[in-house]
Amino acid sequence: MSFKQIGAEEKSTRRSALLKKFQGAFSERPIEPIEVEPSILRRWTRRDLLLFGAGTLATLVVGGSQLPRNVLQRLGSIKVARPDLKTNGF
Amino acid sequence: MTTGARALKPRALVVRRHHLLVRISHWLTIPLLLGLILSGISIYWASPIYQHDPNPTTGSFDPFADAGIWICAHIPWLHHYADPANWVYNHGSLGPYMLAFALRFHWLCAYLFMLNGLVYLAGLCSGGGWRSLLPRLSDARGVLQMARYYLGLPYVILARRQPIHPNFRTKYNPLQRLAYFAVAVAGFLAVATGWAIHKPAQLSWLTGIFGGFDNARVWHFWLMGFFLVFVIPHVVLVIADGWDTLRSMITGWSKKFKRSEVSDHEL
Repeated sequence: MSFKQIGAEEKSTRRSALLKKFQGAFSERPIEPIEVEPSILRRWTRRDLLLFGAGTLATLVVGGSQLPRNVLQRLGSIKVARPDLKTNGF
Repeated sequence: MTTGARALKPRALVVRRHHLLVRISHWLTIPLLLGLILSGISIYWASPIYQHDPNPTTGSFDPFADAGIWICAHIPWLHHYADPANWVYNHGSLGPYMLAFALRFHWLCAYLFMLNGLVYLAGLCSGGGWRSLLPRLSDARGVLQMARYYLGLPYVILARRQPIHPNFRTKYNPLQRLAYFAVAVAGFLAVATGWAIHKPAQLSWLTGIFGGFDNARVWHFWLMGFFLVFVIPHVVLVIADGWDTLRSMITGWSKKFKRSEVSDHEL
């Protein structure tokens, strides 16, 4: 085998490896299961659900604080202090 | 002795499904999208993109007002509703006559929505989740299989047969991949059309891409419709799939996985 042929083969191997690497970069990775003690899983779940609940509550409070009075009145979250201010049609 | 006892303890097998940033941005999308839609419809009320000649009887020129009038005329307990023309706006937006506030609120939500989109992208990139969202050329057959499965599901349930779910070895099935990817693209387009409407003079090139100011508004309106159409089956299917699927979007891990779930380049 000549040096030229060896060089060409090496080049094509390197090119196919690069192509594989490129395709691999866009492909989904295999999932890796992990072993966890059930008590730890319960602790994680409790912590995350509490955080989720706190986040939901915070979003409602912050979102609600940004809305004008008549929208909140329509939602029923605050009572109408002066009925004459209540928008028609609700 | 202690080591032996620990080794005997039953252990659960779980997989990490969603990156923390993806979970945070997923849940934040709900209030933000709600704020955007409610304020967006209030803005729409001030200048509806779809108008017809004024109705000689009601004076209405807006199909949403027509819908409100029709609803109040046909639902017995709404016959005495004070403002039928604004019934849709009263129930599906922040309310009519609120253009200034609705615009401010829309932009507050829009900036947070864009920020949230960047958080989502960061989560997808750092967790590698973007790979499972990319549609593949080979997905067409799988999409049809899944569509046929869902369309046939009501009949299968009524006929009391066992539904046979098409089997896929990836995190999301092809239809899910297509839907989630489309939602991300729609989010990007909603932001782009929003900027095109907001700054039509400064960003005239962007407004031009969408066919001008009026057409950009039409795009923006129907992208909202796309989000609504996506949300309904998304929520129904998550509920149907069970607690594990919902929990995985809160905690990040899931007990539900197939041993055969591998990367598609190994298939």
